[in-house]
Amino acid sequence: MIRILAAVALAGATVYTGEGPPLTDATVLIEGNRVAAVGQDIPLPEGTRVIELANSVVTPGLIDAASRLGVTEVLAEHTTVAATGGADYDPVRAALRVEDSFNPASFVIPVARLGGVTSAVVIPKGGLISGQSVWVDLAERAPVRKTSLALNVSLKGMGKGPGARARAFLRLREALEDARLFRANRGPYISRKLRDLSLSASDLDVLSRALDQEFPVVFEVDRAADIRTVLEIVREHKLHAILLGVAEGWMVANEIANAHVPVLVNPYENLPTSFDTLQSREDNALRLHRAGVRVAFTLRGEAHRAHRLRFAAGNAVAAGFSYESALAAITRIPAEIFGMIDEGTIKPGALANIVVWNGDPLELMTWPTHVFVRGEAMDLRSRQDLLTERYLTLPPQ
Amino acid sequence: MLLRDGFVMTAAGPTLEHADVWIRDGKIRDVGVDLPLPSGVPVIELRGRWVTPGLIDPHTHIGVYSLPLVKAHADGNETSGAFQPAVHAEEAFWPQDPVIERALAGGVTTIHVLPGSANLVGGQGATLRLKPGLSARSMRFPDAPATMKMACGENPKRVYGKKGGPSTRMGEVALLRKELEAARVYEPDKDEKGKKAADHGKAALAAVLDGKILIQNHCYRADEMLLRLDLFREFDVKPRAFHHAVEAYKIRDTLAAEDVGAVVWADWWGVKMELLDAVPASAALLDSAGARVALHSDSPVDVQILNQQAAVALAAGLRAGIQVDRDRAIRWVTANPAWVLGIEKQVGTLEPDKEADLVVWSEDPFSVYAQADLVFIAGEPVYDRAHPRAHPLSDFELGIRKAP
Repeated sequence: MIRILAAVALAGATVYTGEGPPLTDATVLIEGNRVAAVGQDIPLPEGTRVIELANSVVTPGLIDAASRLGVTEVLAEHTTVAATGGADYDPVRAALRVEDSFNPASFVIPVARLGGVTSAVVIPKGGLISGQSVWVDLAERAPVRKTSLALNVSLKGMGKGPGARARAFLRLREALEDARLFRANRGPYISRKLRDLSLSASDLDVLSRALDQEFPVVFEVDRAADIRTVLEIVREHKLHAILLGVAEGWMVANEIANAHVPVLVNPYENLPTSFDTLQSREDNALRLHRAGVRVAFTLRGEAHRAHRLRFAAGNAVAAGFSYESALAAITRIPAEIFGMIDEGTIKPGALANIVVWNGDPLELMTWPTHVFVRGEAMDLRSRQDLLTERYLTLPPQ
Repeated sequence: MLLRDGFVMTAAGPTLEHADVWIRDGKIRDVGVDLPLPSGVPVIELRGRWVTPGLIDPHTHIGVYSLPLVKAHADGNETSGAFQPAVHAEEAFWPQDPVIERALAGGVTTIHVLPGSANLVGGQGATLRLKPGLSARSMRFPDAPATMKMACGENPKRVYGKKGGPSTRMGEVALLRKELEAARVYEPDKDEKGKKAADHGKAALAAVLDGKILIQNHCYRADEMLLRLDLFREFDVKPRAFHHAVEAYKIRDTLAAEDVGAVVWADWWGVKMELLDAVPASAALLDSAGARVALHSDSPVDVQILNQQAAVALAAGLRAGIQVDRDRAIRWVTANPAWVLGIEKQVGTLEPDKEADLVVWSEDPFSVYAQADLVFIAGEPVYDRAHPRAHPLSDFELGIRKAP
């Protein structure tokens, strides 16, 4: 076995593995890019670098389940915003691939990492069928772990003009019907014996793979009535679905649970910001969770606030979530929802995305002291830290 | 009324343990340990809970960009021209904004409602108490000084760049200078027949130059703040505070020496070029230099968790090795914003003779798990978490917001 990284033991900490209650005075052994062992009194190979961590808390790296990290630098400057077709482009762009423009050198990423975020589902923006998301680990090298992770559909993305909602559902149904026809008639399509279809060949191909359940379809939808419509479409086309946003999800929690559809929720959203979210509540996520829906938390595309993911979970606890469930909603659950079963937990064989905290990770006055991505210790200084350092002493004016 | 036996963060000194707060006639009568129990006074047992002054948000657009944020609710920027000193946020304020009761539930008792930042001079702000009423007038903070919103940087030139200007930062400075010159020589009573129409805009700007109206200047970058200070110096006036002052930490000695406040965010950053150098340690840096620093929300989400902003900003300061503590940090959301608004003699600390605007927190307000249990304005209970309202306060939400 070729060992690139020496074994590292995080010793004597309180360890949340992502499942169940924490282990106290426990050790996590990292070998290479994976977790080799976790527990009390585990044997350490010779030469292991031991980091003593009394009074520290160790958690899996946090995961933002719907992020714009690495594709957003300065939101107001459109030349710095990638992985979007833009408002004027055809709203159906299933073939758009986020990995094509993901930028691991983004200066927004270190700020997120300093919030303990080590992985993200990076989603495309805008349009109706917005494109395909990717799973990234926030490493400096080869961050993209899985391409074509999911196909994103946004019922918010059809613009704000009159008829937007009707247009969105009309176009969505048309696209799925055409993809279904294409899927059953690839030969006739190629030999031009099929009726005209509303999509490009590459869009049809991506949608037909979604119909094959090759990857899930993430629907961004808020209003309870729209959630019902989406669930109906999901049933009709037998899609593997995930819902994003669901501000009014608590009103249809049982229907979502019965459809076995997981949801990605921003716990900060409790306001009637639009007529789609009049029934927003701070206990929305809690009510969904109690109905048996699998809930992961997200900052819903706010790249510059990704570092707040843990505080979002803390606020969910304040609204009634159990501590373990809230922590799972930013670690294990999002990994499971997207089928990344070796992430989001600390167990032998898991990818070593791990954060060491100087206290309760969901609290406001703690911070990470170590962040490991795939076993590699990250430099935790963000650009903000460098600025702070530079101006600790003021230059003469 | 006596609040008995809790942690009391007075925002005027160290946190008192096992302390009491005695309220009489809407004012704080006394704060201390083992206060003598006046007979016949109702007692609220704190049982180790925490008390702070009511939180003050010095920069919101509540009621002028009300929720739901539909076209009809966009009342914050009068974009018929870049100078609007005559307009008043009070005259756009919708007292049914659903954010009002959420802010109250977050322990906020006073807000400063400002026009937006499209204009170089955006209009007058409104300092309001969050005691819901049928008009902004009925919510006015008694005797709060008038304020004037001004802006520099990206927003005015973005809005006016293609409709007459200013289209550059230098244009912004030149145009403001010209307008201030006109205000300086403005004499409303010059017409001997008394028939000359008063120019309310010029009159308001003249009052700004006379120091009767506090300048609240939206300005992000250090270089632009220094330019503004120079410009205002030409007119022998100073801004009360720079808002969104994300680079204020770079000129904190100047701001401290000039006694100009800095209103900043805890962790908002990066979404515009002028927001790129924001650092979360900024409040701590400013405070340690003796500058008057306040935190603001500028957001209907963050106004509900202003206490959390103080904790996040404090933690960033501690992580950077700056000497600050929570007894300073609580002032960033209480005493210091009170000063920014010129109401520091009435509210912002828990001291005898101050207004009894205060919050009882379920636990340490610097914890993410803390909730406002009780909120008082002038000694009157305005929010009680244990007894949720049967109906929303906002008329808009009545019959719309469903009960679970």
